[in-house]
Amino acid sequence: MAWVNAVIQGVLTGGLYALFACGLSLLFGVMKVVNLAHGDLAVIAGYVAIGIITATHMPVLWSVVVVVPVMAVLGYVLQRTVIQSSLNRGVLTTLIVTLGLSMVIENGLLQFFSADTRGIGAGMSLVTSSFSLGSQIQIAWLLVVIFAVAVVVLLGLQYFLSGSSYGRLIRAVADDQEAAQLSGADYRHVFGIAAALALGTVALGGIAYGMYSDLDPTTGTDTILLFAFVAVVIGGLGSLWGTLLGGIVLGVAQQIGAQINISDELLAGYLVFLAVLVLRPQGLTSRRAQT
Amino acid sequence: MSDQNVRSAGFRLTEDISRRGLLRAFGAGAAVVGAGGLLEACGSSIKGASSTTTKGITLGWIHPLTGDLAGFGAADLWLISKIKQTSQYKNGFKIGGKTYPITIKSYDSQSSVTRAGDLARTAILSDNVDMLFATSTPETVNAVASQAESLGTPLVCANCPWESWYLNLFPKGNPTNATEKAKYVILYFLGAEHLAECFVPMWNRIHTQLHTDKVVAAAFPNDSDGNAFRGVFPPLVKAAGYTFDMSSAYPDGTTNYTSMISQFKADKADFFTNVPLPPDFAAMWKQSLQEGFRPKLATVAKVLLFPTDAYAMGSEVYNVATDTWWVPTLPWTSTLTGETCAQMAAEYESSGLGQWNANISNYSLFEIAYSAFKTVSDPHDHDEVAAAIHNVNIDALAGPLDFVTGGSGWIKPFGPAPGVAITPPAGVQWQKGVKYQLEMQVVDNTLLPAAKITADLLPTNT
Repeated sequence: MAWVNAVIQGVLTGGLYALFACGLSLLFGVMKVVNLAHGDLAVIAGYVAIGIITATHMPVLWSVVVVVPVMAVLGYVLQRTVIQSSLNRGVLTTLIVTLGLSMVIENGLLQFFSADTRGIGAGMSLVTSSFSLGSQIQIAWLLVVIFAVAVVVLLGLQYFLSGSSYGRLIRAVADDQEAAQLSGADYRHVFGIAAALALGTVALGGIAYGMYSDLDPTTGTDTILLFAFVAVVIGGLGSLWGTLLGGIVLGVAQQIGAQINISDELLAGYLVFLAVLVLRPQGLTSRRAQT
Repeated sequence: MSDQNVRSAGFRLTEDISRRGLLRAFGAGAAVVGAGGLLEACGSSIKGASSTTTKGITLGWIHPLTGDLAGFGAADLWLISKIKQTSQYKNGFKIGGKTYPITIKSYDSQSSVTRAGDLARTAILSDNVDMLFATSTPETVNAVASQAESLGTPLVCANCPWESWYLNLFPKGNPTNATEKAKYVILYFLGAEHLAECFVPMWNRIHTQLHTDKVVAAAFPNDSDGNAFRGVFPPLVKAAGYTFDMSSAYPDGTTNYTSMISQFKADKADFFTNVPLPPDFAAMWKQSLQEGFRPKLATVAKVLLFPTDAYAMGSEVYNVATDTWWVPTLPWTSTLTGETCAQMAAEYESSGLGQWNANISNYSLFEIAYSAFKTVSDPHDHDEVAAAIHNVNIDALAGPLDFVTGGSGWIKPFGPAPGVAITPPAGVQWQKGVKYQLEMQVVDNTLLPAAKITADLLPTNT
């Protein structure tokens, strides 16, 4: 029964990891940018949410309505200014630029908001309530909600990319940037839209993590970026549904590792990551159709 | 570093430049981090510069003011301002006919082990401190203690279980036969055995009330405290007639405690104890509630010691018990001013910083420093000062601190360890309060009879 529980908890945690990972995957799929500041941007989103909730006393979940657009705009601006100019100098430059961005954000947060940990929605009934399956398995509503949000986000992205004209534009640019440009697509704007989408999803990830655990200035690189990266690689670079699969595989591996010995939790996740890299480097889903 | 700028500028100033002018000039830079400490420090630097005959005494305090352990440092800056009002620190120490002005420098460890060690090196090698203080958990204290002992600077530590501290300085040491003596480092606090002996009477009372299976779940992490507790707790708990259900040693920063909680639930644990970092406890306790692990009494260590940590978790921590080594009802007084514990707590609360907390007892660091410095002939002679701190024996605000014999308060077979004075704990519980949402009530005073019982012990979950 404990093992069944571990698998269920792992699958649900996978939803959280997918929320971290889908933005990273999207940026890579469209622009070939590995955004090393991804986790730190999630932390910024969490801090913005905390700031808004403290200042206006709005209900915790309503903050999502404000934070996601704010982060999307930030994503667009960031892409059109910092990332685009580094893209023009070559793909490797973006790696260095986003790493620099990550350091600036982390140390900026440390400087202005101190190293204190902050949580979102402490004492909320959503955070502490759960329901039971049988006598031994308790499932937290929060994780169920996060998993559902992840699925909805992925469905939404899927629909947007395959159904809308902007989505088609994004896919066209992702497939062949020059041909798309020849057909009149402004790829810079398209990249901006993709970055806005990516940061919108990462905002959800940051808020979800703030409710699930706590945020501090180092959470971004220590936890969120790392798990997002592992989930993306396991699932397959650039594949949208692959991030959910990758997140679930990572979550289940961690929970099974923890069931053996709690100090093996992280190790188990990374062993699976390594195994995928060795045996199936293209990831579990090699399809790149969605992006 | 802005710290460095402020200080060197302070020494270059001539006397006609006012302190306010200096603050205006450097205010912007200094206001960013640890403003209080820096501004105070530069104020005293001017004083030091104006005296041509004696080089002032510099005290450095490495403590967590931000980060995971920020709750531990909540009272510290207030304490520094309070200490600066005492005549001894305001007018300087009179040693051998000379008066030495005092500079107090505050270093924020940001709750990081590596940063604490780096700051110790900075304080000793660049800032030439004459004495260091390090407080609040092995994550701050141990790295500083190692540096101070190897670089030969006197150090007074507090608020770190003595076994964790001792085993860090002497990895081959044995807490039940603690004979090794650090030359430069002393500590006052309690040990893991005090926490076990503080918690057992509380479990006994809940057992009498609710008839439990006497199973105690323990979550000890893989860090200095966790390793020390894993050695000390099991025999004491078993001797008290309880089954000890210990988790495997989880790494600090674990976010998912499902497997541990399943184990505790499967073993039908009625009691819960731990020694985690505050954010880890927040995650663990949240998940315990989600997953239906509701011990009849939770007695936690290292967390919920201070109001800030308790409020961060809100109503989730009603009737969770912990320990405290200082309460306002204790009959002790300051050796510097004669103020009582109750007066200190009242003044702290009236200064707008919220509820009193046990780390007001960090005041005694400065009592120890004064007591040691006034017996030496040269305060800049580190060896002489180091010998002097080992001879301190005062009835301080934190209680009787006897570094000569180790004092009373040791629980056999542990200690006494050279250079350690014990301040035993009382059992306390966060209960729904009247004046504040959460109030720390003394519910058990087995080890600290001087603390007045203020409320009945209530089960965490019935």
